[in-house]
Amino acid sequence: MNDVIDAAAPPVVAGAAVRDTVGRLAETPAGDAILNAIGLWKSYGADVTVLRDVELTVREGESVALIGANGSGKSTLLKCLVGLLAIDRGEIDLFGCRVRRDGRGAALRAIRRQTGFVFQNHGLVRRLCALSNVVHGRLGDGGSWLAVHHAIAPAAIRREAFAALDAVGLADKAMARADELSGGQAQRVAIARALVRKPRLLIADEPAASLDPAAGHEVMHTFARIAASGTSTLLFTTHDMEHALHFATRIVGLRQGVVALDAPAATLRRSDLEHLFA
Amino acid sequence: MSATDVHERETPGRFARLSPAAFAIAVAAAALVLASVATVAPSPDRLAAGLPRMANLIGRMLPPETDPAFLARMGLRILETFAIAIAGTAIGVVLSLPVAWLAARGVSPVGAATFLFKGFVSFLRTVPDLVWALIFVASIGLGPVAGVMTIVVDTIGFCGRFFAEAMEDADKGPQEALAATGASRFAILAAAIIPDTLPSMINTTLFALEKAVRSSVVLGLVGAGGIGQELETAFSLFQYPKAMTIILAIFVVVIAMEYVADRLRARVR
Repeated sequence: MNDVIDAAAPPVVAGAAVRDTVGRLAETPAGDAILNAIGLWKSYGADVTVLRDVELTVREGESVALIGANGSGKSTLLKCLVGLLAIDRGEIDLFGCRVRRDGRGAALRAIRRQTGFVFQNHGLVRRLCALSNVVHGRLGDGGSWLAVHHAIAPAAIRREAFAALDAVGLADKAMARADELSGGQAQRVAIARALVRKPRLLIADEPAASLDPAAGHEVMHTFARIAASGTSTLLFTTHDMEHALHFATRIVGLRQGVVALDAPAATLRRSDLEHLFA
Repeated sequence: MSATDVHERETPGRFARLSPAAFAIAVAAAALVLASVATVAPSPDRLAAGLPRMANLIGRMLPPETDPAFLARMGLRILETFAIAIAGTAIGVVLSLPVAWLAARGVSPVGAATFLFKGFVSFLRTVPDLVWALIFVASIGLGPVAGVMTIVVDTIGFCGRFFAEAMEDADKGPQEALAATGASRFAILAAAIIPDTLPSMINTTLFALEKAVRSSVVLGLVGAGGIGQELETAFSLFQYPKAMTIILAIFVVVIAMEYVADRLRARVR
């Protein structure tokens, strides 16, 4: 194992998640806000408004689940936060920097360098091996353009990438092509790619949605280890209420683009969440 | 309601009804085809008169020339033809990559200006290779260098278009994932788009090479080097047995090239 995630001896930082007596993640006092989104509006075309005056704050060390029914705006919100989608109105501050609406610029790239993003469909380059895909996680770093393939990547980056794969239990699959991996394995490679740069904020969009229950649980446990280690703040979307209750310290519920719930997970039951899916 | 009523009301017609404008265009197109055939297509009389002359020519071409000195010279010319095709394709493919990137919508770093590069690629493609060969022979001089330049330009026109289309169709998931890491557009091209489109690009490159081999044979006819120059000389001097040997050699070379390209294509995944 390595220093990317080490579940054996998690350093507890302010706001980091720890397990309570029933196995759910409980929250220690949270740190400073690293994400502040105020009054976000986003529409697709003239008729479809997906986000309506959304406010969201995430503090260092939290594990925040963003839940809601299909079409509630979860994925759109995550993509807006890192400038992959342009918001219509509002302000987003990430790590103290303003996210530009046009999704361009060196400042935005600097913000993204501190963020890891895991997509629902994992977004791996299917013809490349797992190790190359993890090496890609360092592409955004200045001077790391050789990280396009593990064969030419600097030795330090190769070592870190292999350590990240080891951390998600896939060291033996390092040279397997991405299109030869199972859905769960591919998702864990995507997590390793996000972790290889040790992001301050790890964002995951429905990381378990396209997986069978066992693989989905495995992936969520990987996230839980990350949250417990306190190395990254976690923000993930899910429509699985059990995942949200079990793996998050705070749950934010979206309903038709509006924040309809924001509470510590430890204070919530399944019945408190069901109205979000009605 | 009877079964007959249902059929009369619900069964659609076999052919879509043409609008007056579409009908007029169809009639004009048919007239154009008929006028072209009537004007320049061979008449049965001319074909009948030409067949004996064709048979006579083939008779004078046989048996093919087998003089060792001639075969050795032809072998060198065949190698030169291959060299023209391979050098032209290699340089053309390398130059096609940046051109295709600039011309690919949704991928290009130049935004709306992609149409300029698409137009450039279309221009290179629409001018026939023989015309490019005449231009390069006139500007650079007779010989294989003019042939290589012609193949380079032809390959950029061909590969530039298909590489750009492959880049536009590349899987957007990995591109978005790498953009989220803060990767530059160039890094996304190198790390996600090129690996994803590599099989398509290799296929296109092999087609371009086949095309280049055929083109480099013909380019010699206008003085751009290769075996075509030998063929032109043989016909000009009425050395028909030599011409037949050259034609057979070209046939073998082109078939061999297509066979090898097909085998390589089957291995790419």
